Amino acid sequence: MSLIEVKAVSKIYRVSDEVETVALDQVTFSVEKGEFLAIVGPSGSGKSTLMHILGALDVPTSGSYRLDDQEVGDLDEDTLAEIRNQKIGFVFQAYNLLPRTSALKNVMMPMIYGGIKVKEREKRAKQLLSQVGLADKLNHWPNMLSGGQQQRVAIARALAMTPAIILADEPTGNISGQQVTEIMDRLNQLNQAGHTLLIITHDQEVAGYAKRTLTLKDSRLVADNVNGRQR
Amino acid sequence: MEPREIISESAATLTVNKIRTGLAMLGVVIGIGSVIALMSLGQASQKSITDRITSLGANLLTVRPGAMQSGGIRSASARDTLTLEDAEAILTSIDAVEAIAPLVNGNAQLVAKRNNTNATVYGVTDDYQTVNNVTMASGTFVTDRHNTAISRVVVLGPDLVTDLFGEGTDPVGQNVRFNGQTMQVIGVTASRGGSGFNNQDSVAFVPLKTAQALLFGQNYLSSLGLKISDETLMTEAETQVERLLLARHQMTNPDEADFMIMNQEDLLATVTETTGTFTTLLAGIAAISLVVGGIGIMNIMLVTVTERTREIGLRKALGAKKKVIIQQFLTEATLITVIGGVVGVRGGMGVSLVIAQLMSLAFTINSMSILLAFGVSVAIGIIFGWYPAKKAANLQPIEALRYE
Repeated sequence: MSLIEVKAVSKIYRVSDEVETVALDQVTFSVEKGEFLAIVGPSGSGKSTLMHILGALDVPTSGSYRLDDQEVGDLDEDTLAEIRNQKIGFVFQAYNLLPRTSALKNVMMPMIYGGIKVKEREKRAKQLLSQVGLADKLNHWPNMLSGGQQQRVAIARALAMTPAIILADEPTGNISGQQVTEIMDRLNQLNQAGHTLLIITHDQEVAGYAKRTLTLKDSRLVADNVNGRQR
Repeated sequence: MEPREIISESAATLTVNKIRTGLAMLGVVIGIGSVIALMSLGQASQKSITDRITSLGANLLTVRPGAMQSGGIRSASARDTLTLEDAEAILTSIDAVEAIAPLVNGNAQLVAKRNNTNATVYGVTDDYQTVNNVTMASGTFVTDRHNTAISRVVVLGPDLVTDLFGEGTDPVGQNVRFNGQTMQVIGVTASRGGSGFNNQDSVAFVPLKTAQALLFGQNYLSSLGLKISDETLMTEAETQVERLLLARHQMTNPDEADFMIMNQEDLLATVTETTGTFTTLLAGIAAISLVVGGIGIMNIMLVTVTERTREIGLRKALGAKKKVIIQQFLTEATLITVIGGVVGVRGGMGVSLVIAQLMSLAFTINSMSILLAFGVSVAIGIIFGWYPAKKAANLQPIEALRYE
């Protein structure tokens, strides 16, 4: 049993009665536990739609998506929220940290919704922030941190509920230079520590960190390479 | 999420935009404040009026001219029905009546040298002093002789003395002009601790006949007080007075009577009802401002939801369920209204305390109205916070995350 099983997943947006837009067309693949996967493709290829479905932020129009042995395709909103909380760690391009809120509180947020006790929350958030090298910035607001540091807070937050997969959407899209390498090294370390990692990106360099690359084009999955070779 | 946490988080959010929170709160503060102030003032004046009525004693009957209509409301049409002769007939032929206090009243502007003031003028006989327990600070009250002679004399209330002659002076022997007549001051009544709307200390007493002949030019009475010798004879006396007056007015059907007799209990009931109605009316008007305040909060909350679309999206992405988002926004709205309510209650109490002191009313506040105000604040927060909260909870996480 694979960790992620995507079978013939399609997403069709009805713009009006006559006009339909196909955002994903019969995509099928699976991901094993511990993999490091990059999903690449030009803009408009369906990357974001796939990421929303994988992240349980949206449901497919047809097809089946099983995450950790649970069908996610046809759940109601609140159960999807629970899946996102328990099984998925998000890292967004724009960091999406709460403004005017300390790094510590930002990391604690998923644990609030996960029903973890206050003391335990704080302990774990501190631990996670020191893991990403921000032990001395616990009470800093996001606007006092650099882009790279903010993204590290976001990575710590993604790990808060020990999720089954970490989903990173263009994690280096808003940062540059040395900090890109730093963030990617962090993510690589997480993968080596056993975390399953999915990165959506259009940056070849970033995709190069991954062992496996899925290429989307015109809403279809066109290539599935492992270490640069077609699978 | 524990309730304490929700509250502390909401409080933190509200302090981010202090001016906006403060302004939203102000609507509730003003609404609750005015409801509390008006209710407390209404109750205070009601209490002072009823206190005075009960202080007069239980053995008083009051006869008023005018027909009794349904619900105890006097018709305005037939007021000129009760005469001094009626009063004297009652005193002579009904044994239980110990004393009578016929009265005409009106308003006049009193002038003494360069000072002038408005006053209620009571035309009375000497018995008014006995029936209403009037005590004198100096001089004498109106006597029988003054009445027979239609003397131009006046007894002033202490407040009038202050207004016309200055505080602490004894005006006995001085002259006061009103309604084209010069009256000599013969006495000053002792202070009764006047109260707001109907201040006993600013009444000028003149002989009844003087008032009828020289001041108001009418032969009728505004009211007639009867002192009954014994409380146990009250009901009997009431029937006798009614029968006598009906006969004197050539009437047979008591329902058509052109006068009405009230005992203290009737009077109390009427006054309580009237002031109660006024209090409710005023509080109702004040409540409108509460609704306006609530709409203000709804408006602010809607703006907040739009502004925080990304935050809501993020929270949902990280696992917040609809219920949690609704809770968060409802708590914020309710926190505004509850704090506003507490400030409003205190402000309203302060305002009514100041006004009560200015009008020398006894300040009263009952815990019921405070509890009510608190309940109303919570209700307003929930009612007007509901729609914005629901709107926030229904945001789709993808749309919300993308929102710029």
